[in-house]
Amino acid sequence: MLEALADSSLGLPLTLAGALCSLAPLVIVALLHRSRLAALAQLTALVGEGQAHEARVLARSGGAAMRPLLDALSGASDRPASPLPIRELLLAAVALIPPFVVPLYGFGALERAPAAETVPGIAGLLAGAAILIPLSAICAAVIVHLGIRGSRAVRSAGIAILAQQARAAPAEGRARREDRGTGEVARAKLREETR
Amino acid sequence: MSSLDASGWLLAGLAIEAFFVLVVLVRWALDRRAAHGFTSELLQQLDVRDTVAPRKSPSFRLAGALRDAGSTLERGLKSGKDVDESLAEASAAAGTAQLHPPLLWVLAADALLLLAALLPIVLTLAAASRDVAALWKTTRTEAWPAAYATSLEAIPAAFAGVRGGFAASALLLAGAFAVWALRWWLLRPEIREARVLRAFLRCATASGDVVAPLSLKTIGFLAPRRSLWPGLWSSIAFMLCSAAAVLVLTTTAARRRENNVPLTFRSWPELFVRADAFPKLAAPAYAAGTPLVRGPSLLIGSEGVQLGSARVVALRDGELAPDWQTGVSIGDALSSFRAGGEPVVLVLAHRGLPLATPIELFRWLKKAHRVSRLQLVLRREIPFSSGVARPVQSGLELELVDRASVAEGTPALVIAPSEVKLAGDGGTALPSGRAGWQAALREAVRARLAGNTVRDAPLRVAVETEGQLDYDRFVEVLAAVDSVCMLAVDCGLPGIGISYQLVLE
Repeated sequence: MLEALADSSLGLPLTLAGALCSLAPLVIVALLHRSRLAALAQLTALVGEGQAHEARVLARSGGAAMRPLLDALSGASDRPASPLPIRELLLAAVALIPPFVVPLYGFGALERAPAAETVPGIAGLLAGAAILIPLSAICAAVIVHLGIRGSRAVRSAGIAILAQQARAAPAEGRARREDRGTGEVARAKLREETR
Repeated sequence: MSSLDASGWLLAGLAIEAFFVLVVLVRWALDRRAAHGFTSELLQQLDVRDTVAPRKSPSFRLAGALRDAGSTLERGLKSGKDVDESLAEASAAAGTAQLHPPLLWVLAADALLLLAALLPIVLTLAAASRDVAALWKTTRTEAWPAAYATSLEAIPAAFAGVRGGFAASALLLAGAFAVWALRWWLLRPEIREARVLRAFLRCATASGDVVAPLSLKTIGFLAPRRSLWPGLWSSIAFMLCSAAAVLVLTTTAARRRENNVPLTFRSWPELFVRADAFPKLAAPAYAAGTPLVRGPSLLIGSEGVQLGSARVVALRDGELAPDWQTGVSIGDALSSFRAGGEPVVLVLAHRGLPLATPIELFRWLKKAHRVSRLQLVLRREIPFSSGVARPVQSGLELELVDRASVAEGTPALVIAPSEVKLAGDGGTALPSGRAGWQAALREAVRARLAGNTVRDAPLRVAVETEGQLDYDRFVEVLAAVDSVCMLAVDCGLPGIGISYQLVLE
């Protein structure tokens, strides 16, 4: 199979391009996941040290995925939501594209190629498809896993922040606190801070 | 990949998936037992009256996903902290605990599931690639009739297992999705978290009053939302995906049906011999012959004969008059074709003619005009992917020779009205009434031709006739030996290019 791939002037470059299209989103998501975990660890450490303002700045720079933390830091006491891993789902879809596009493009290119390259080209494309299908499926699965773990990590950080804030509240006010922030408190605080 | 291999891989894939189902169920059972045990211990070791206080030095059996929460509670109680505060810390620990299995384990398990599910596709595509590459190496050095005959069997065989491989993988992928769904339903972190929280909640509310307010508030952060929207959105997404799949399948149904045709030969030239002068002329129709060459045409209808544009002679009931050669003139019908050497005359004859008429005309061409190479025109209907058969004309090569010109060892056919004889050692006689006589005759002749060891030498078969035949019968036998189509349907391929030698004397 590898010999057929190597003998084809079309199969090998297209397979390599397809593999790159599947691996690149995985690398991107892995790097983003690692940086997100590092940011979350730093954020919870800041909250634990009493530096809530610095923690809010860090959460604000984290984008939409960090919004539950921003609400928690702003005093909202509603349960933190797990952000949907939209970005990871889109990148997983990108990782799944090569097994469909590479054979279609390859067969179209073979229509214009010299006759002597047709049969080796077909053998190469078949070998390339045999490599790309499992590779892209595994890359997509890993990307989805990282997305789910990242979402849970954000939720966990929100839980930790809220639990710390609840323990720090005056003991006589705990049982009666009914502040059910829905984001208005966070937005009001944000407007105040950015005025 | 044979069907037997595909079944084997399918069973192996199903066995792997069944193993993972077992792992999920065992893990779920262990988690539930640990949760029950933890809850019992918690209630025994915490005294629930006006407040929740430990009865004695607490010690919990640490188990699985509850480990972090249990150890946090144990540490808090042993250090003398308020039970409410300890429960709150333990609840927060449950919410922040790594309740997922280790990432590498999960990735390894999912990679194994995916590989098991996709292995039939991978193996069948790899086998097809290998077979196509091997076919190219083999046929690249062969002459084209042999290459096409080899490819006719080898190409469908190369792709024979691909369909089965995709079907097996589709089934295994469905099984893999079922395993993932079961794992999500029974073992997702929220389920494990909920078991811990339920234990804490029972303690915090055991007396019926709120005796652990901090714990309850913390548990409130972790309790799942009781909303129908996730289920509704999931249902809508599933219905959209189903609708999209149905749309794709129905839109592509016509195209898939068009592509589901046997292998066809695509390059028949647009060359036709037209019989406008004889509207009732019906040529023989057989799936044999090679592409026509350019040359003068000899039309033999039931009412007359025409060479090129020159009317040669009239026929009565398809027969020549005794003195028909008197005063016959063909003008320059052949002269314009002699520039490139001896011309090849394309013979388009009515199928119902008595064979004696065309043979008499062939003798006249050879004797009077030094033409000995003919192509007997056949009518074919080539199936194409558009579903509309394309009419083409092919030709059987016929050389007019005398007996002395036939080389020794050339297979010789003797065509009679009701049988065909293959002369030579162990000669074969095949009655035409016997079913499959064409295939038997083809095998017998080709077995004789296989002894021809001279590369690129033309495949020659000598032909004689016996008895009263019509033209269609004559052509039928020649086409049967030349054809490569195995079924009654025209496969679109040319014949193997046999050059027949009609012995005239």
